[in-house]
Amino acid sequence: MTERPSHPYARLPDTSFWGRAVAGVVPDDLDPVVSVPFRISASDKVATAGSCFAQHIARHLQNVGFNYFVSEPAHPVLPAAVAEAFGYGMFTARYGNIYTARQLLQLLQRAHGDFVPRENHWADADGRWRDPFRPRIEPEGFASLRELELDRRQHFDAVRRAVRELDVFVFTLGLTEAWISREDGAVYPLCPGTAGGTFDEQRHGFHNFTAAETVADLLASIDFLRNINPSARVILTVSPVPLVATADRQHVLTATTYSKSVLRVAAEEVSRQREQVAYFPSYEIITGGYSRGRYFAQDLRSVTEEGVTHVMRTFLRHFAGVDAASMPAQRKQPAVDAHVASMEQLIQVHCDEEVLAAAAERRT
Amino acid sequence: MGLTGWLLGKQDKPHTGRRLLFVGHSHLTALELGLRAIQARTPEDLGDTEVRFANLREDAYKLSGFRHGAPETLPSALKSLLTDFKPDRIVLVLQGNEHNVLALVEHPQPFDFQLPGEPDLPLDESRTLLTHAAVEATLFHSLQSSVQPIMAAILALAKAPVTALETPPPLAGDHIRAHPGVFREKLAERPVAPLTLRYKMWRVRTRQLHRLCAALGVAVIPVPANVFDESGLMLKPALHNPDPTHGNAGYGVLALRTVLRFDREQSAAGNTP
Repeated sequence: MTERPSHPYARLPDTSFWGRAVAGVVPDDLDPVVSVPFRISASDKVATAGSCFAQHIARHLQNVGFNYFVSEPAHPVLPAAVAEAFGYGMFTARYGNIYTARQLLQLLQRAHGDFVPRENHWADADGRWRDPFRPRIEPEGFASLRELELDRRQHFDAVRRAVRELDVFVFTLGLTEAWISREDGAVYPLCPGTAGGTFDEQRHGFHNFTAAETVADLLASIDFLRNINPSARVILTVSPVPLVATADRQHVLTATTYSKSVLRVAAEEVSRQREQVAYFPSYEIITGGYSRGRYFAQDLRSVTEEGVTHVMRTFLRHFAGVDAASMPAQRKQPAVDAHVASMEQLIQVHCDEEVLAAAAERRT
Repeated sequence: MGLTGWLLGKQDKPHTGRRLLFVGHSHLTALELGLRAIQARTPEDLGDTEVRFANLREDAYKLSGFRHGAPETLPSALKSLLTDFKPDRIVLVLQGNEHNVLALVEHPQPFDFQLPGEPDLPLDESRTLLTHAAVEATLFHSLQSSVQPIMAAILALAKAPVTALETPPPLAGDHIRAHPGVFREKLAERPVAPLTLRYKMWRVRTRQLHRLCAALGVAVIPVPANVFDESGLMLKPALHNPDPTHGNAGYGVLALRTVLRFDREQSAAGNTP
């Protein structure tokens, strides 16, 4: 007759014990995910948004053959390098980095006509125009206010389509610090004056979101999404990338700890409060002491490709049930538009014929 | 015998006037035909200027062995011309149909964009909107691979000022449909793109040529204003070659006169660019 365990810890799996799950594991094999509430199939449309770390997730999802959903693709005449420079394909739609939960909520509201910020465009000194809510999406700014407004209309169409059609939404929380409009609370991804616009203390204020605010904004975003797309599944992650700078009156290291702690708490609370919302621990995989900091580059901020690969290997194992090492890399070659390719060939023939015809004329 | 060879026969007596060497692709043909017309009808336009052409689509000048960044791999015939002809000015008419690749025939996903500086041009909001900067970047990207390497190589070997000439504005849609050439099958599937879009694309391509040339220290000669029709958007019908993109001998006459005038002005002013 076996003895009954004498206390609750005795029945727990290895993953519950630091020695067996962290200190005693080869770093490359560390896997902090115990279970996930759903799987992603190859046909599921996976949409992404969030801070810069989310770009890595988007890139890897495309490379390993997920049905990565891009509702605002570059027009086929734009070469890949140009499309990338203009923010296409970085995320599902061309919204640029979304750092805070409030920014996500306001994007959904703006795209659906529920919120129109008073400060809706910035005029640059050189006569060009910036979208305050994605100020770097056009590297040199828009050529005119009309161009900005028409492009935004297209962009909002793409955001609404993404909301309607996505199956899985992966959102990476990046920051709690933000600059907001004192007039209507609009949240800017970057401080006015840093990438367009002019900073004005009367109109622009600093805000460091609390855990409660972040939870409320995330819940409101998910509810907004599911009001339109009830079966949408959500994966929340926290960016491991430290703050580049803080506007709070504290050291950037403690400010980073505060910010990431709030985001981590919010992600946890929301995943417990809503069904079909998962928290995926990319933050822990990158920042965990087990890696002894090797997943950060020399600047102690940028995440190395090795770290991103560890994150995505773990992601795929649990959400897709696949071993990433066994999946053939499907890095897409820059797509060549069939129409443009055939026109290039025809133009070559056309121009050769012009010269041949002229030569024939000279001979006569 | 090609036109270049035909002109070579006129080297018996020493030449004391200006020497212009044109290097380019298919748009050069109109200038070659224009030269013949000038020689036949108004030789006084030419004065004592001697003109040679190196058409990079002709066998002797084809860039088959050319490597980017390696001027010495330019065709021998071209290198010889650069050396032996001793041009006072080299005029480049390189490529020139990059915009037509994108917007001669309507793309299956029709697009439009706003052209800064010409706000009165219509913008079709039912099409996918591209930003002007994205179109600029696309055509600059194209010129960087199609024009820049050749221009840089010629600059490296040239001992005379190098100048570029804009290529002709778009042709009429009716004319393109009447003379579809190799685009016949394509145009059976898709319409000719609207003139305003084709004009905008040509204009952006031209501005990007200026940008590229400015970076390389090459002056650009605009096409003369008198080649445009009254709309200001396209080549005068009388100057259309019987194909979808090129100017004819009449266009060549006007373009060549513009180059000759530019060269004389620059020469008289003692300018070298």
